[in-house]
Order: sequence, then C-alpha cells, then structure tokens
Amino acid sequence: MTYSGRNKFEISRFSGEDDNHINKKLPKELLLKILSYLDVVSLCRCAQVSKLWNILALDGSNWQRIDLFEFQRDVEGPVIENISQRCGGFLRQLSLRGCESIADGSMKTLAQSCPNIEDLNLNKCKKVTDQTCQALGRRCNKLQRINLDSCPSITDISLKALADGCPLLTHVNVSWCQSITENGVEALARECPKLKSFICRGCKNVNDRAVSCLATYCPNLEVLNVQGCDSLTDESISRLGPAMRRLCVSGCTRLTDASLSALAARSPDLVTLELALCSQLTDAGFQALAKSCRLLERMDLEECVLITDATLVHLAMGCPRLEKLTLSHCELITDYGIKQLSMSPCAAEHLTVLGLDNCPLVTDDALEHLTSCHNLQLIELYDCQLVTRNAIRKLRNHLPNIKVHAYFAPVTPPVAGGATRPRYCRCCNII
Amino acid sequence: MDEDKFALVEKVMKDVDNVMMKNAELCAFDIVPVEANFQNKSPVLHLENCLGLESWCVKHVYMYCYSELMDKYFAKPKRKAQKPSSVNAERLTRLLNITLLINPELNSLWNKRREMVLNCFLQKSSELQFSKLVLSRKPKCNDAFAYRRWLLKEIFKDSTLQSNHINSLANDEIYVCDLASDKSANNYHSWNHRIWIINLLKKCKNFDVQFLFIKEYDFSERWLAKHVSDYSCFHYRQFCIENIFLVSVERWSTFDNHINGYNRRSLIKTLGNNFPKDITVQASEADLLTYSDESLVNLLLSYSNKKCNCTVDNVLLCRKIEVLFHELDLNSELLRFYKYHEAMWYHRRFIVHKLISIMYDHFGINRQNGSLVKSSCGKCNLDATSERNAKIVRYDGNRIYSCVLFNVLMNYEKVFIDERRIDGDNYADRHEKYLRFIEGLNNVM
Repeated sequence: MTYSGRNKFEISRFSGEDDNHINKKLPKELLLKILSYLDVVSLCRCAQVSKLWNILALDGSNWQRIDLFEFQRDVEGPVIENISQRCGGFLRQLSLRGCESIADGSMKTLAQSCPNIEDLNLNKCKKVTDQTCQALGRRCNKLQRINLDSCPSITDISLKALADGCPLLTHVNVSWCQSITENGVEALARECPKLKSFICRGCKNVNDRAVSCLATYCPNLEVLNVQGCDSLTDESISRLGPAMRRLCVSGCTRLTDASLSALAARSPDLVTLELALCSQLTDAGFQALAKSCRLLERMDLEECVLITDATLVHLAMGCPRLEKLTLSHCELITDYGIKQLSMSPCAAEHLTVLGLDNCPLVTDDALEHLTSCHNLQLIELYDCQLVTRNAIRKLRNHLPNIKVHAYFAPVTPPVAGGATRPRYCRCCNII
Repeated sequence: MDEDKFALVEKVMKDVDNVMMKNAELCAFDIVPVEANFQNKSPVLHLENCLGLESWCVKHVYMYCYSELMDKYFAKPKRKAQKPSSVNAERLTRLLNITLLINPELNSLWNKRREMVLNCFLQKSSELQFSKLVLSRKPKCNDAFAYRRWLLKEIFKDSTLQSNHINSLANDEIYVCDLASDKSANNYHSWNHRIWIINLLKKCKNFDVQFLFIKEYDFSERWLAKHVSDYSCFHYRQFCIENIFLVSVERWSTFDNHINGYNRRSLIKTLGNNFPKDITVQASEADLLTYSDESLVNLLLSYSNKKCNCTVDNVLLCRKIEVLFHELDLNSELLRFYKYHEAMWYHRRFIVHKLISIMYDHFGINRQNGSLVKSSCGKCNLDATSERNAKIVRYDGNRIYSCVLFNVLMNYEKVFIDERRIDGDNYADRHEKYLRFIEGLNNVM
C-alpha cells in the first residue's frame, strides 16, 4: 500500500507522538482498511480527530469512489482540483451530478492526475464542454462509464475524443446534449465495440444511420434509449441485435409494426420495451412480438392508440413474466382485454404495476377481474370515468396492500364529536 | 391511504403543469366550486385559455405543496434549506406555481421566484405571464404586482432594449392593469401599478411617452364615465391631468384637432354663461372663439404683478385652464346624472383647487396658514423683493378676486351648488364649506 500525498516519515512522526490506545494497538494498514468503508462525511469527520488520522483518512486509497450529490453540490473548481491531487491514481469512480460550477479547467486537472478513473458522472454540469472530454480521451484510457446527461455544450467532438482515447467504454449517456449527431455516434460505435449501453434521450439529431452503426459495430449493446429521437424509422430499429435487453423508443412516432416484427425475430431476449407515443403500432405487431419475446417484463404502451384487446390477449399468452404494463391513453382497451390479462399466467404471480389511466372504456368489471392478480401493487385509474369508488373499495378488500391512483377525493375520517347538543323543537317546548 | 393521496396530488400538479406548458396563452385561473367529486375525473379544467381547479382538491394540493416547500426549501437554519439549482429547479417551479396560484399572498415564495429568475432558472417573460395568471384570480394581489414591478425593473436595466419591445411591454402592462381594474372595483393596486409603469416609461429614452399620456387621459375619462365611484381611478385621472400638462404643444394641438377644439368651445360656453355682470369688456361667444391663447389669458387673468422677468407661457396656461374647465364640466354632468357620489365631489375639490392654485401662481401669491403671502418666483429667486413687498398682499388678493376667471369659477360653483342642493344632495353643502373654509374663500363667496 502506498501512502499518497504525504510520506512515510510524516506518518511515523505523528504515530510516535500519538499515545491514544487505539493507535498503538492497531497497525496503520488495519486503520486504513477500516476507514476505507466510510462515506465522505464520516471520512471528513475522522480527518479532524488527530494529525495521524488526518493523514490516514485523507489517504487516496480511501477515496476511490466519490459521490458529492448528497454531500455538497455547490462546489467550485478548487475542490475538484484538491480531490484529484489527493486521490491521484486511486480514483475509480467520481460522481459530480448537479455540481453546476464545475468547468473545464478543473476537469482537465482531474484527467491529468487521475488516469485510472473508470466511472465518471457529470450529469447537469452545464459548464462542461468538449475540452473536458478531449482531456479525458487523452489521459483516462481506462474509462468505462461516462454520463454527460444535460451538458448542453457537449458536441460530436466529445464523442470522437472519447472514442479515440477510451476503447473500453461500455456505458455512455449523452441525453439532452442536443448538438450530438450521427457523426459522433458513428465514431463512438466504431471505436468502442464493447459498448453495452447507449442513452441519448432528446437528441433530435440522432437518426437512422447513428442507430444502424450502433447495431452493426456494437454486438454487445444491451441497453438503447433513443427517447424523442423522432426521425428514427423501422430501418434502423430492425437492425438491432440479439444482445438487446432494454429498449426505449418512446416518442419515435414513425415506427410501425415492421419494427416490432424485426425485434421479435432478432432480439428475443428483450426484457424492457418502451413504446410510448408510437401511435402507428397495431395489434399485428404485438402479436409477432408476444410470440417470440417471452422474457418481457416491462412494457410501456402509452398512447399506442390503435391497439385493442387483441394485443392484451397476445401479451397474456406470450409473456408470462410481465410485471409492469402501462396502457395509458389506449382508448380502445375494454374490460374484455383486462379479463384476458388477469386470467393469464403472468397475472397471478408477476404483474405488479398496471397503468390504465385515460382508458375510457374500462369499467368496474375490469377491477373485479383484477382481484385475481395477487401480486398487484399499483394500479393507475386516472380519468377512467366509468370506474366508481365502490369498485375500488372492493378491490382493496381483496388486495389490502394495493395502491390505487384515481381522481377520487381522499376520504377524510368522519369528524368525531359531531353529535352536538340535543335538539329541541321550539313549538313543543312552548306547549 | 396517505400514499394514494400524495399520488393524487402529484398527478394534479402534473396535470396543471402540462396545461401551463402546452398553453402559453393561458389568461385566467380560478377555483371552481365543486364540493364533492363522484366521478373519476381530473379536477384540472382547461377550456379555451382558462385554467380551473375544482375546489375539493385544493385543500389537499395546497397542504402537500406548501409543506414540501417549507420543509425542503425554506428549512431553518438556512444552510439546511435547498438552494435552487438545475437539479431541483423543475420541481421547485412546479411547487411554486401551484401554491402561488392557490394562495398568491406569500411573499417568501415570490422571493424564491426572484432568486430563481436571477439564477436564470425562470424566464422573465414567462414570469410576467405567470403573474398575470395569478392576477386573473386575485386582481388585488399586491405581491403579484410588486413582483411584476421587480421584473420590469430587471428588464429595463438592459439599455439595449428595442423600442418595439418596450412598446409591447408597456401595452401588456396597461392591459394587465385594465383587467385587474375591471375585475375588482376600486383596485388601488392596479391603478397604482399603472402610475408606476407610466413613471417608469417617462425615464425611458426610446419610448413615446407623450402619446401614452394622451391615450391614458382619454382612457381615464371614458373609464370614469362608467365607474363613477372608483376613487382609485379618480386619483389616476388626476395623475393623467398633471401629465397632460407636460405634453408638447404640437402633440397637444394634434389631439385638440382630433377632438375638434371641443375643450376650447366648452370653456368659452362656460365663460359666456358665467361672465360677471359688471365687467367692462363685453365679448360674445363668437368673438371669444377668435381670440388667441395670449389674448384669452389676458382677458381672464388680465394682470400679473410678478416682479421677476420670467416669461409666462400663456399657451400652456390656456391649455391648463381649458383642460380643468373641461374636467369641471364633465364632473358637473356626471354629478347631475349619477347623484350623491362622494368620490366625484372629492374630484371636484381637486379641480377647483388646481384652478385656484394656477391663479395664485399667476399672480405670484402663496397661501400659508390661511392667509395670502407674496411668493418668490421659483425660477429667479427674488427673495429680497418679495419680503419687502409682503405688505401689499391684500391689494394682490383683491386683484385675484376681481379677475374674470376667478369670478367665472365662483359663479359657476355657486350655481352648481344651489342646483345640487335643491336636488337634495348633501355633498353640495359640504362642497360649499370646503370652498369657504379650506380654500379660504369665505369672504368672497
């Protein structure tokens, strides 16, 4: 074990002066080991105990994983520079989520002093620009995960720099970096074949070519989130490979049943599929999907307005592991579909969350069918105007732990002491 | 059960937020009295450009949002309170929106919004929109008006503001005041805000404030004809009259042409009806119409014994008299039509006071502690002479009381007071007493 920052001489000097019992009994290595289990706040407190503990607590080896989110977010550049100098090569994981004042200067220092960093989270660090990523690409070749969510100044240059310098990248998140285009994504896909997860929510310029490149060059891609990339079509989605586990294409309104058929054929191991706002999808597509993707657990079908009870029948038969199903705004769904779902194998064991809000045809009968879903924990019923308070009460009787979200006013317990003074009839009193 | 309630509140908040995001033109918010909901229907109502919230959910929503705000963002000690940052800005905005819509009289929350505007988490223009929405429900909310004032001050700090932008801001502001005044009678806050915005625009270089003066002068006249008891608006009217005196000659003459010299003709008509009998100069109305401003002032005020060398702006003086007599006429007419309204009588006091002080000014006299004193000219500061001549005040007083304008005014007031008294208006007596004892005209009436 190397003591970064200060030398052994200093430690031996202070440990000699220190006559606390604990310091005499425990060797420094064990003390360090113990300290390594503490979080940021506790470490800082320990550092104030004595000179010896100060050295030990601030030793780089204790600072391999740092998350400042809960601790302090309004940190300035010098803090990061101190951290990077103190931790040096020890730093593996750093989260600066929400630290808005962090700018390129301090990030360059970090890249310089901590070349072994593997996981860097810069979510909402708005001042960070391409220069940070260029420095990371030059220095931190072991980087595996990077999160640049909501850093609006990030462009394709960043992705190219990361692609060139960090071939081990597995997880990349560039959500809401609106300047990202197909070129950056292509560079990344070509140079980082180990990529497992790529998230680019709200990047309007990510198009078919970008996703096709990911599908072609990254055979291990398991997670893809292209929410709101509305130029995507069936062409790219149908190229995604068999490694796919979690796919979110919400808001890609051009997708049709062809995508679903292709996914059914090429990615049978899908677990999560989010298809909100894909309003061109129909029952036929879901029939194909349900036949082959039997491992599906979570599905979001919000505003897939064309689907009917038939889809529910297919899902009920084909996907026995279904846990979470959202059918918001699917206005053609009726009690029959819910009945089929509730009789399926998934219903009794797995189904925990069911979203039925804004399904105007769902009535009290649907809730009655759902009483057989023993595992159901949450059901959303907002704006299902045919559902009554009574039916909800009955459902609660069968499933006492269920949360029911509806627009009914919360019942206030009856006011105690309502029985006021006995009422007299005035006229009788007179008589 | 509590969890379900919280989920309901969250959903309501989300619904409100959705409506506010989707519809930037939202113009009205209100709480709709629906005591019990038997249907599983959203309490957030959105019709045309109006947003409504059913009353049954208000209690729950307000309690939930208010306590979250207080616990998280206004926690004591202050270092434990979360500061607005991009991590919580969205949530904080949502909470502030709904809490302030329900109860806008929470200055701390408005201050939090100010903080967020300064940190660029909120747009100034959308904040103007939001405070307008708040005012649509509570038109007397001073906090919302104060917030608007603060926003506008921030906006006007930018010296590169384009003139069309200023125009649209001014129009919006006047429009908001219109709405607020319309919704709630005697809305001190909205009229006060209107005065504030005009005073702000006075300092603005690339804005044509004189046009606004005329427009507002015209507007307040029309408004008062419909709202005869709106004392706040009478105050505003008086502000407008003072402003109209600042309008340049050219601007005024175009306006005068626009109304066909109506003011002059009505002044002359009043003069003709009330000329003192013993006057030596006899002029018919037709003659008077041909008089220039200069000669009209000479006829009405005849003599100025100001010792200083300042030139008297007869054109402006004439305009002032015209405007005030027009106001007097208007007031008489309204008082005849809508009887017994105190506010209008008080406005009359203002007009008479203004006219008399113009005369005092013209003759270089001040009223101090009920007696007339020679005043020094404000412009050339001839203190020495004024002190030496302090004795001849009585003589000057007589000068005033014998000038034509004064006699016309007194005659006009006497006739009007008598007429109102016969009609049974108690305020007529009070007006007479005001003239006698407050204005100190006891010996001349």
